[in-house]
Amino acid sequence: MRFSLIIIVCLALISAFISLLPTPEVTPQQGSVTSATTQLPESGSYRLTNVTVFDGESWHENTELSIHEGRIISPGSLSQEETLLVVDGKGGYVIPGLIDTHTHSWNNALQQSLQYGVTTTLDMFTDSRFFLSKKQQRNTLSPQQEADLFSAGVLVTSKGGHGTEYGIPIPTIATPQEAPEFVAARLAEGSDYIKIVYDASASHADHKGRFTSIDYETLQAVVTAAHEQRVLAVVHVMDLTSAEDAAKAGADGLVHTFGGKIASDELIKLMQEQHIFVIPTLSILASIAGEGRGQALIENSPFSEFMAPGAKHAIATDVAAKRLPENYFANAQENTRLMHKAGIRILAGTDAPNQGTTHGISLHDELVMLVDSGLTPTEALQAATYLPYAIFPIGERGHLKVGARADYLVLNSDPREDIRHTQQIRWVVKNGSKVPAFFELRKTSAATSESGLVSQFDSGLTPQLGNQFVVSTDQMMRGNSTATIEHIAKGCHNNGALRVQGTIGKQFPYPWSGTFLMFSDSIDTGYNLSNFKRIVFDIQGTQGQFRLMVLNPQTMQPSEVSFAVDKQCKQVSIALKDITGVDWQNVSGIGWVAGATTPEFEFELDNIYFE
Amino acid sequence: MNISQPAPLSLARRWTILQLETKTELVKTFRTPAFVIPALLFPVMFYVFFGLLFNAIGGHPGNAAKYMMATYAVFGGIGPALFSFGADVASDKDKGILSLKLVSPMPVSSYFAARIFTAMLFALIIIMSLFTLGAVFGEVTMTHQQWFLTLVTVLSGTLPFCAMGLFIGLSVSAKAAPAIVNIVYLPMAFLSGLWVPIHLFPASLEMLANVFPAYHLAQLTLAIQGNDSGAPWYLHVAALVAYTLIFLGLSVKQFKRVDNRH
Repeated sequence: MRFSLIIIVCLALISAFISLLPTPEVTPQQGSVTSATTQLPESGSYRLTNVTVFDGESWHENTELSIHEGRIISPGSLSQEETLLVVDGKGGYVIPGLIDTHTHSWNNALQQSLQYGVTTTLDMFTDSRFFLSKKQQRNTLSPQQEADLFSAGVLVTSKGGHGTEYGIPIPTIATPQEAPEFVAARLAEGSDYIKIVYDASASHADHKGRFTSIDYETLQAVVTAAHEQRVLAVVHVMDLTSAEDAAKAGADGLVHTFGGKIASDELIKLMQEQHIFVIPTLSILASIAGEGRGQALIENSPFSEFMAPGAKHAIATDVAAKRLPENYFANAQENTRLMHKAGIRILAGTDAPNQGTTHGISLHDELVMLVDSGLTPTEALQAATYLPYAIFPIGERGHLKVGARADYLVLNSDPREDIRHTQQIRWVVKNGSKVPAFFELRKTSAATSESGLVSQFDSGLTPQLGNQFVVSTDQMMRGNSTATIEHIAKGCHNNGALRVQGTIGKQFPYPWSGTFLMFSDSIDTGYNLSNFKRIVFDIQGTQGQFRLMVLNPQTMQPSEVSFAVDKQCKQVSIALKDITGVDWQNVSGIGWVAGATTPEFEFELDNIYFE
Repeated sequence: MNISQPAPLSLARRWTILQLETKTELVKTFRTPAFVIPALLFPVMFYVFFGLLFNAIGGHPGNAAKYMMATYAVFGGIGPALFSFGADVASDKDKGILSLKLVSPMPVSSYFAARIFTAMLFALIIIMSLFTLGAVFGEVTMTHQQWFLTLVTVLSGTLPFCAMGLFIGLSVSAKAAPAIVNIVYLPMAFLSGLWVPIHLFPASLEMLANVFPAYHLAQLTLAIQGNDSGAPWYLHVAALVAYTLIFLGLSVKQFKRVDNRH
């Protein structure tokens, strides 16, 4: 009896134990659908339902997308109990994150690209320091605020050729014999593919252009070397003859189409036979032709009211080159049309941020121009998604099939009806996580001031408006300019002033040296100066041209305007609206600097104020 | 007319014998701290390390702790079953105690039933410790039915491992038995996903896991909380029953070979 009693007591204890164990507050109904949300979760795992999906190749009506840890998965691959959070796509149109196949990247290029839905950029020449600093982050599946970057790194050009004019010293090639080593060096630097600059007319005796070019034999040798080392070789050409040469040399693709002449049958045939693709970059050709497309985007597009001053500035004015052949842009479009009709693969690329184009925004316009050149809207989307995926070694980007990275856009309207609907962005998603799109950027409500007086330097360098004056030189860009600042008792008006002395070095191609008025401790937060119209200051010093620089937190490239300095003290007054590309609501610093024209300089600043 | 044949035992007598045998078995086991402490401590310790501490580092509080609670319950449950039968039976066999029990009037079923009971009692203690840890430190929540089913499943799931242990115990010497049991127990536990969730394994290893009974028991337990890999529950039950029968069959064969001339 005792034994049975023990067992009964034990069972009772176990029951009591179990009844004490915690239960969920709401009993989970296994396999049931959790109530749908219309917000994307923070984590990269969820099911996006009630959407129409373009997977890069074809459309799927009224379907869903399962995303797990930043990648697209097949809906059944997780056990049904591991229910993914359901997000109601509300009939949106899902397309893969766009790929701009022709960019040049620095500063905030990758941020801006992503804000406008370009999740991957194929760079065609940049400072390899920038490229290498960004290269790693494309491997991650964690949330990112920047587009992924692939790059040709340093391009292949001749001494004095196109590409050498930007001030970054780059290696050049002279003979075909150097080709294998030259290509190997680029790959060792981390280049993902090889970009070659070629201009057939440079070898002609009557060549008037400003650039030299590698010759045909070298072009051929570089292409061959690239292929031997198993990478793509793409060629920058700007005219028919060069394009024909590039095709003959065995290039994999042309990274521009050309205005001027209409593509010859021979070129089309060569491109067909060798499956050469083309990135027409109609965006830059339109700017060269002065089509005014950037201005149209600023004035009348879904982007209009959200464009950052820097982006606006970039597309406000076209290159509008003089002495262009007749029908330059019309012919560029016609060439795109001919090549497309001949079955040649057309890729979407903009050549941003060359003048008249800007990252992200311009790609949407490029798609419009591709449709105007005879592509269907779906083909235009393929040009910015699946074709780059199929051609370039960029991993699982550019499509939304199982295994792809979950880089995608949700559009409010059907881009098949009008390719401009790619601009109707609801969500931008990178690695499965929603990122702030251009219309969601947090406006930093910067501090502002009623009084415009910065400083009269009566007693020291501490300003009344702003944080402090600091030395600023191109040493932060590895230049070797120098400067010192000090407070002097007898300046311009025989009272206190700020004296700046320095030298301009030659290491950085765009040197500067001088002083900056910083509005906060870091350059990441800004100050609101939009209630002022002009900046006024007294200055005397080394005779010459000096520059006033304005820095916004997001754009690392300052806007600037120049002014003259004399030995005599004089007042300089500059209208703020004359300094283009500045967001005056959010200024991080204003600088007075010398440039290359004054190798040794000094100046005294006094009575700085805004009015 | 076989006079030497003893009269069949009454049910009451059998019950008393079983009680006595169980009691002595329990007393004997609990007087072996070298067995008690590791058997109880290891699963609990592993669970604290892998289920709770790691869980606190990653996201999703509760779910990993719940998953690991089930797999470590299985790990803790099958250990005593394997050792109680594997090592102890081998030792009883070598010392002649098994032969002694066989010639005693006690039905041999009582001998095994007492061992099963002991193994299950250990499993029960381990499971309850894990439940407590998971509930208190791992934020694990389940319905009462889920808690209860988990307990019952792991407890009854020890049976195939009793059979497995029995086969080992009858097959090898007392000296070799603990080593052999460990060789079977530890790799099987790992490869069945008891330590590390099975879906973190390469697909080929996940396939391979199907050959281990521990995998099927773990999946069965995980199915209760909805964290299994998706195969229907009755397949796992069938696999476990099949393993029990196979090892029982093999054990009967070995049992007949036991040398009783001590």
